[in-house]
Amino acid sequence: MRASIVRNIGLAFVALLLTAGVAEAHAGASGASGFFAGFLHPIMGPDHVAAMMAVGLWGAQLGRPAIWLLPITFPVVMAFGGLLGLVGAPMPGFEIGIALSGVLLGAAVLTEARPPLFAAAILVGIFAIFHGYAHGAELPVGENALFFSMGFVAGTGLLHGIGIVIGLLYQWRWGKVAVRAAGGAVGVVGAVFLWNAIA
Amino acid sequence: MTAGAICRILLLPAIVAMGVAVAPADANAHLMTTGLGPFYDGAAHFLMSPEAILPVAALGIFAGLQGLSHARAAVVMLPIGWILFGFAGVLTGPLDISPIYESVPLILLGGLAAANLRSPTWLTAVLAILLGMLEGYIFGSAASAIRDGMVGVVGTVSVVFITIALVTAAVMNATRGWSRIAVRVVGSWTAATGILLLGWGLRSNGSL
Repeated sequence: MRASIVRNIGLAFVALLLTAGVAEAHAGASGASGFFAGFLHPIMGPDHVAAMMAVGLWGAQLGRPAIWLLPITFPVVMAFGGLLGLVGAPMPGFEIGIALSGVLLGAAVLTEARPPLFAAAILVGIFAIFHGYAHGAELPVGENALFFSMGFVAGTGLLHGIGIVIGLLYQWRWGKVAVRAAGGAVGVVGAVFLWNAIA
Repeated sequence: MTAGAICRILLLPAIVAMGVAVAPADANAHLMTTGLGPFYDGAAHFLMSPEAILPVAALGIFAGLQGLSHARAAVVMLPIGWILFGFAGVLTGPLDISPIYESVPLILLGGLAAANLRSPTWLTAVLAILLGMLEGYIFGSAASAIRDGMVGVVGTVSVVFITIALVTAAVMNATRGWSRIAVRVVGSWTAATGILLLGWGLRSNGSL
């Protein structure tokens, strides 16, 4: 009985895969064509992914109130950076700032740094502007700005969420090692991008 | 395996495939024509307009976090402002509004919901009626474009009332710490979306 249910579900899934989709002439992979284009935009850059996850890891490591302050404030600050990028405001050296964010946030997680909350918030906020600016400057003029923006914000929030969930391992002894190791990995990724940005 | 057994196995995927095949592929966000009449056209227009749903949800989150009197103010004043200016929009005709103006309620109401600052009840009432006036006018002018008229506006306001009532009620029932943080995150994401939309609007207009 159970095997037949599984088989039916599998067949239904295959049937869904075989259904024809709608061909859209201008739904380009890099175009501002909708929610999924915006959602994928922050996820496709490894430097951004590493830094966003490090923010989540650090927030979880710092505990309350940082763990909930972060997902509320970060998207707004990052969107402000995105606005600066969209309108073409000059921001020299933002790529170095992005790479530095990976190095410093990774190092903070690795060394279990516990600065005052306002200092951590300012540091993360500055990095958020750099990351938002880079995304904003890259966004093409699209046909559906609202859906793209919604997807962009949701994608960023997802990365934070993953970082926070991984950071929750910090409450166990082995988890502390894992979280610190993840911070170290982020720092290495950031160092590679910093080298590329400077060289 | 018999032919009957094969037919039974294929029945479910066949039904699913047929269901997917007949599902509508195109979604028209504006000027909805459901074929069910102007009332449902108006209701569907709101349900297909995230640029209107988001600020309404943000207002509901803000009011719900503030308490019962704020929730009552939002639930009453939003539909009043919406229907009055919806009728005005029907009379004045189609309106082409810049994304710059559409971003303002997202930023303001999303920011307030995220910040969760204590505020007087009259502020919530004023925000609700202002949002209702702006969105009502936009929706009313759209209803006039497809000749749905006042009935279309009434359909929209009915769904708006249900939406704001459900959101405020849900947020007021969110008493656990994490659930209140979750709704504030929704407010934050709404504000962030509004800020990006503002940037898009400024770039598209060549204002900067």
